[in-house]
Amino acid sequence: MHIPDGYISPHTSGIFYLLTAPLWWQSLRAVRTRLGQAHIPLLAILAAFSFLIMMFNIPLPGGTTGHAAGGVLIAILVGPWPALLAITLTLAIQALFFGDGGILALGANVFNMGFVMPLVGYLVFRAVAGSSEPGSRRFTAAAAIGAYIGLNAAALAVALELGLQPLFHHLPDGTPLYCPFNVSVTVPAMMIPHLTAGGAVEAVITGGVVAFLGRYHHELFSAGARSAGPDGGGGGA
Amino acid sequence: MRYTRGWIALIVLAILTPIGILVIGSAWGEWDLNSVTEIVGFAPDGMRNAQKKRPSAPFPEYEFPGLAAEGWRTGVGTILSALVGAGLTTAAVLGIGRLVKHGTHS
Repeated sequence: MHIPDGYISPHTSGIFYLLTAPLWWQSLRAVRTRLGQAHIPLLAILAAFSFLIMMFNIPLPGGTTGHAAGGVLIAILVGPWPALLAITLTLAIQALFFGDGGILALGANVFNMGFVMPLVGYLVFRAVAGSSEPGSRRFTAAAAIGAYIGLNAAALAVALELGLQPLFHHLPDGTPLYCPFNVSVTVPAMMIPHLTAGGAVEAVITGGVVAFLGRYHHELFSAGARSAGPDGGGGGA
Repeated sequence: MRYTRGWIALIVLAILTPIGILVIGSAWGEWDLNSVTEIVGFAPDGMRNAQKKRPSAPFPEYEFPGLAAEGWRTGVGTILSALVGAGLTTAAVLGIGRLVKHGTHS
């Protein structure tokens, strides 16, 4: 799911940096105003958790590999906006130090894994969880369903970004300059593995961690609700 | 220290990362130029240029310099890469968190 440099054009990459800039701003604001000082180490642990679970590659149907990302888990615990900051820094370290994901493409990767995935997953989670308590079956199921849908929303975003490249960027004779596949190839290639094994793994990890924390560390779930809504509940207290 | 169990879980995960790196194959749409040429029949010009210009990373493919050889050393290198990466990520979040929270009282 990490788009490498050269798969999307510099033009597309620039658009995604512009798109994500206001999102970063909002993310920093949310961390400043709605997250307690004590939640900063939690955010750091969650970012490192995301970094590490992305190293666990799993074989996917179709002969490719994939990994869980953890974006929805972070959003459930600290809210989708702080999650964006955590995932941004994770992706930046991966791109700069480990060659995983492009540097020009970082904006697009942040948009997909740091914005689309946590936000979509979080909204689904909230809708399904309702007023259920952490540790309850419904709360855990909501986390797993949110993770599954969030990951697949991100996979679809990647598929569209890659698949639209041949349409916009090609030589006069039609030879593609960047990703050579159009959406009829990229959508099934991304979605079949993620709708099956990829989504299942993300759901199991997210549901598992949320169930464990709901049972033994109930107190951790206060930050997510507080930093999510526009009014933020308890404000900056 | 706060979240002691969380930090311990991270170290355990880092030690287990060699398992995840063992999986053969690559993610769809994340191939290098040689693999693209094999799959598509050619490497698109724009892609070739962009990949040439990309600065090389100190730990490509999560391999640790000097420990990229075959066998058990690769696993040790992977664990070191995992620790370096998780450490850098943690430091980045703590650093930016501190900057952002500067002057607030919560």
